[in-house]
Amino acid sequence: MIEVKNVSKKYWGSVKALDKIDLTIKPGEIIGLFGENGAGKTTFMKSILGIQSFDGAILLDGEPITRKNIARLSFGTCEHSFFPTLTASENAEFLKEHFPKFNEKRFKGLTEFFELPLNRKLKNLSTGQQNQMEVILALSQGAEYIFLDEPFAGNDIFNREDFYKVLLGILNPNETIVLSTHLIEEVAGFIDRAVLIRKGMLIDDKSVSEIEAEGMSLTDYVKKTYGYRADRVSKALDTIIGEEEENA
Amino acid sequence: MVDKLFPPGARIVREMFFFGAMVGFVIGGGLTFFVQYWSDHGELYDVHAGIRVLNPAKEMPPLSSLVSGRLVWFFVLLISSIMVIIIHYASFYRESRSIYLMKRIPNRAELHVRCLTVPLLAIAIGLIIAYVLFLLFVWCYFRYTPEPCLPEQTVPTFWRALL
Repeated sequence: MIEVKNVSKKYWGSVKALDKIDLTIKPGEIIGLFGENGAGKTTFMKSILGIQSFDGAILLDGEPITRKNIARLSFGTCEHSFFPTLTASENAEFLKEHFPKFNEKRFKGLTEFFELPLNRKLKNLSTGQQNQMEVILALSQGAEYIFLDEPFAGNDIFNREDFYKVLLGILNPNETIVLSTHLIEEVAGFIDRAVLIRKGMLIDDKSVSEIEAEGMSLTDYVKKTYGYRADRVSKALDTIIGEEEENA
Repeated sequence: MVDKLFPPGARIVREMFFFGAMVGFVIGGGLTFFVQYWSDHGELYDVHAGIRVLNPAKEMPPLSSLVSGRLVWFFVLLISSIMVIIIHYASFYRESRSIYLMKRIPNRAELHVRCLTVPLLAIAIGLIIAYVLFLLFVWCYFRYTPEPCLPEQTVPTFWRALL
């Protein structure tokens, strides 16, 4: 279990990127992490992964996350964390060398399923293929907690749907996914729990079953919690069109 | 095995060639001392009827002027090695953020081993070569320069102390 306790992060000269976040991530959960651009989703993930410093405490089964237990966490990001001048096979070799639980069977199975070339440098693949490879490497590392930050930005919808299906099919019961995405509707059938972040603060944390029990879709729940004003666009259009007509 | 001393995907052969050439330049640059020294040494002698005779009135150029600039390639090696270190670290931010992976691997030293080992080794080799060459310069200067021709300003004790 990952426990995030009172975690804050302030970048130099800016407002707080994370503000006293408390969250518990249990084994086997699939969590959707939602929030507008700049809300703090990526900062939150990077803090857990030890990629950046923070104030507060993040514990993995009661222990701070250090190099000793970091192998239990993996990360797939739209920024890509693979080595672009290495091939897929070479990237997998690197992971195998550093993460003893690397799941070769999963790596081969997924690269075959998505028809990804193993012997081409990753920088020469399309963005969509690079995203797939990034996620495949994160899933194959042998980690129990897999953090995916906007992993499918740039992939077509068929591709993304395939991935969600495959993910649900291959995950072991003890594998946990934390998925940050803007594609709320697409992941509605995939996640167990929705966590909302706004301006660095955790504004809500609810299971999908609770949301459904309230008679809401995940998208509506996110919009409502975020205080999204549905009439915002029509008002803006009225103003713009009205101004144009006056000018005419 | 040697690939574990470079950032993943680095052009190892090119980099090895570069450092090899740099070390070669350090040695080559140093060896020019001896060319100059033997040329100046020859100037100390006059030839009378085909016989070389030492002219005590002539003076050998000071050691400092002979040494000056001979080890400049070591400083080129030093600066270029520092630049290579920067390039190595920057490679983890180029075309992806593989730095995230390097920060997550259990072996904390891996990133620094891959970025620092070869350039620091090149600096160390260059430093040893430069030092050995310098000792050779001093030894050669005092061993082969006839004492009457040694310049007065030279402080032999200082140079000898280094030997």
